[in-house]
Amino acid sequence: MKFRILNVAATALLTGSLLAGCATAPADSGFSEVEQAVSERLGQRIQWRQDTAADEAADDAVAALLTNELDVESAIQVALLNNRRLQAVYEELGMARAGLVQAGLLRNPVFGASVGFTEGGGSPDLRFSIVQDFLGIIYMPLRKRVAESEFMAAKLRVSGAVIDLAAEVGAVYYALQAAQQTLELRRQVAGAAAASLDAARRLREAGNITGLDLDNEQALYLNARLGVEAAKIVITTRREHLNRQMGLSGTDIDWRIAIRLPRLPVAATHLDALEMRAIEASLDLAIVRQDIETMARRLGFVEASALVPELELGAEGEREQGTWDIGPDVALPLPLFDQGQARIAAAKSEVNRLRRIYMALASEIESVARATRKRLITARRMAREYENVVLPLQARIVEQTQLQYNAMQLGVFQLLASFERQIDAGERYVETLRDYWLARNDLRQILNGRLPEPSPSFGGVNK
Amino acid sequence: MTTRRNFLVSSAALAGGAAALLTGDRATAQTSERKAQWDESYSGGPLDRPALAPGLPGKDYRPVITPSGGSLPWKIVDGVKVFHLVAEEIDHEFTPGLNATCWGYSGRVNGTTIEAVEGDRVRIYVTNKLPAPTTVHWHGIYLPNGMDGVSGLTQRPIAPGETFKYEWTLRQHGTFMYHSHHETMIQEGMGLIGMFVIHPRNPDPDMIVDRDFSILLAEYRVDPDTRRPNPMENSDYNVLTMNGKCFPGIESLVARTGQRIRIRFGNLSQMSHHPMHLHGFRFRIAATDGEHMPVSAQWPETTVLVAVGQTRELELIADAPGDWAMHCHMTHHIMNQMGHDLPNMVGVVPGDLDRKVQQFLPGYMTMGRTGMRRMDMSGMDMATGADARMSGAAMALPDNTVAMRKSEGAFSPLTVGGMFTVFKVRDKLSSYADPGWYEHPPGTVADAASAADLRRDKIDIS
Repeated sequence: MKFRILNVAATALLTGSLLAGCATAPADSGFSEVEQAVSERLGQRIQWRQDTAADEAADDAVAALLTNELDVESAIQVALLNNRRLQAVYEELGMARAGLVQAGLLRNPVFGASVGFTEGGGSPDLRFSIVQDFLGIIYMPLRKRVAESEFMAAKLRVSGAVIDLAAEVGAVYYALQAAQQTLELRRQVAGAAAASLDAARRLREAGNITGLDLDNEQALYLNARLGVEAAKIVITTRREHLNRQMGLSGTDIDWRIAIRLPRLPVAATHLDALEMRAIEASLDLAIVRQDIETMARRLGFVEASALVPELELGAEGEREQGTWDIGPDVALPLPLFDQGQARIAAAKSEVNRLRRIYMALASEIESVARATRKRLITARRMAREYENVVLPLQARIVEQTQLQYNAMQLGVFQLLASFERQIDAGERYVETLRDYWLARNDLRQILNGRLPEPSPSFGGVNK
Repeated sequence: MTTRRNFLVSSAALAGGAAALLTGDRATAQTSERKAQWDESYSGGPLDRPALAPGLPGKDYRPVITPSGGSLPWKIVDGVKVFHLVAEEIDHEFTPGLNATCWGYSGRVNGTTIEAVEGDRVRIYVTNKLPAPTTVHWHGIYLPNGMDGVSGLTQRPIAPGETFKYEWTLRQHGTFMYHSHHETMIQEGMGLIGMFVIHPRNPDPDMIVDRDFSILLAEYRVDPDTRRPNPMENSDYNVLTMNGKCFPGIESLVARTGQRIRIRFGNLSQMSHHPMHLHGFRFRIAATDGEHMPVSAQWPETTVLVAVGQTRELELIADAPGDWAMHCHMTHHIMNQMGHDLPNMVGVVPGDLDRKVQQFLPGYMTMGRTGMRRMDMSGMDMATGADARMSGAAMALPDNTVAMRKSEGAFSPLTVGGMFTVFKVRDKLSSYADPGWYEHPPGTVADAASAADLRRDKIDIS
């Protein structure tokens, strides 16, 4: 199915003034449009800290959130308000705005004075000149159009950076919960191993087992204890990762989150037409389209969108555009020696490069969307299997083992070992549940317009 | 020193054998001396010995008692005693609470005794209702070789659904057995065994008894929460049976004081011999599976070893009343479904182990420290007096098991199972139904020594 993507994402993303070709640079550097996009896609608010009194409002909001147990949305909100690297990204808006302003300014006139002395004396010859950049006047509309396109791209990039940070926070949050749950389980295993070791010690004291058997029990116990310590390290690492993402330090790092991962939601996620939805929502594609637009405007194209390849969903859909030539309004100085062939060729190559990237990105997005859908469906099914079948079965196994123990068919070591195996199954369940939530987080990121992992040939802003 | 033996040899040498010796014919010399020790026949004599009229119960023999079992019915057809033995799958109760799918004969597992009289011509129809081929071998019995029942060797096997006919004339008396001889390990292991008792025709007076019991010993492997014996088990059998029953599921042997008693043991356990011990009496081994012995040859025992494949007849007079235990003296053989795969808890001081384990396994209790005693029904550990966590409830057990289950006794729960029964001798009996527990005459029951006794006899118990 072929479809034409015009600046759909761009218009959906940014309301208002772009297509009108507004020459005035907005006072807030377009941040309000980024705010709106983030609010629509993430349901979160952002604030550009500019060392004013308004910054306090952000600090107060963060402090208020930190007093309670953080759920994933609160953690994301704290990060969006507090992460200083994100604040650094916002300055790119300022720089792009400045570029827009610059494009609307004429070059300063050059005042020249020369004094000429004739041979044989006489009064010096004074000449003054004012050289005005007349070409600049002619080319200003073109420069402004290019700068507008670049400004648009900057807004898209900054929005992308916010979405990326939100997704990263979600991923670490769920990973931390999984680590906490794993620690809980490993403590149980260590406790059971400790009881087993205690039994072995008592048996040894009574003269009923060998020293070898006791040593083996001790080895098992130490193994379990080390498993607890390993789980603690993972928790520490992930907590610090969240601290970095949320920009916290000092006393603020004592925040709490729920120990356990949320349970599987009852309703399954709506996954129909996922590839198409991902393509439509993609900020990554919008950014490339905008870059193509910018290059095309540099080359004087009026219908710059003619250069954006058509996308055929699920197929290699690049249509040959044929050869194309530059238009008449090329921003080039008077061609005397340098008729600009090299620069035209370079610009053409750049446009072609961006077109290839566009096609590659489109199929990558589809592929990642498919993979994420599969991960989500499979993780849900597996987690359900654990909940409905595996974990109840493990519980039954422990019950039956207890009965066999009561009938003196087996001893306390086998009984405790069956309990430990039940907990191991619980650990695998936690991993499966975590994988579900990570897949869901990735899916959200894709539908908000960013790939969970950027393609190698495309550079995101903050990666 | 000249022994009697040497003297005989030498004197014979001087007589008839002398010439042979002088000529160097050693074999002839030995044959003439030793002819006296050979029997007339080792296989019942001539095969064509004519059959006698079929022996009748009450008239020609007193029927044998098979505790928890019975004798295979027969009918007379033209002077032949006709039996119908059906080999079939049976849902068998070893003892209440333990059932298993076994293979047996005519509705019973191990408990179907074939009874006849020496001189009877017997015709035994064997119908195979098993899912596998089978045969029946008549263990210890003299018969035409082709009736011997060894699959492949003396007959083709009886296919499922087929009915074979075995027929011959009984030329001996004694205690014998019958069992499958096709894939014997599997089929015996599943229960296809039984006793074959042949009464003497016109018995000697000293062979007549008042109560005649038949007990077939066997062993099975049935794990708790399973429902079929495992005939592949090699040595760790856990259900030991008399006539297919383990205690308390086996009927007691009941007799009146002074009666002449015969107990016939047969052992078709897979792999174990059994030293069968009777409390309170000695008995004489009156017969092996070979034949009845003259009284002078009957040796006394209180424990008779019955090896796999052997039978033994014991005889005694039950002249001491009481409840007399009779059991295999191998200690593991008087436990029901005892597991061996667990650590030895005897002498272990549990301390706070129970609490530590109950954090993860609320139903846990340390067992086996002072032996096999578990919680009694009130939930108190009688060894330590400590309260059980589950007051009032005995520990839950797997399905279909009698492991750890105690049976009611006269004074307290009995701690035995397996190959164990009670020989109940009473001065007065109105019938041979189980008379309940023995009522001991006062002063004859062991109990705690009184302080007066200890003082008088200066027993230091500090």
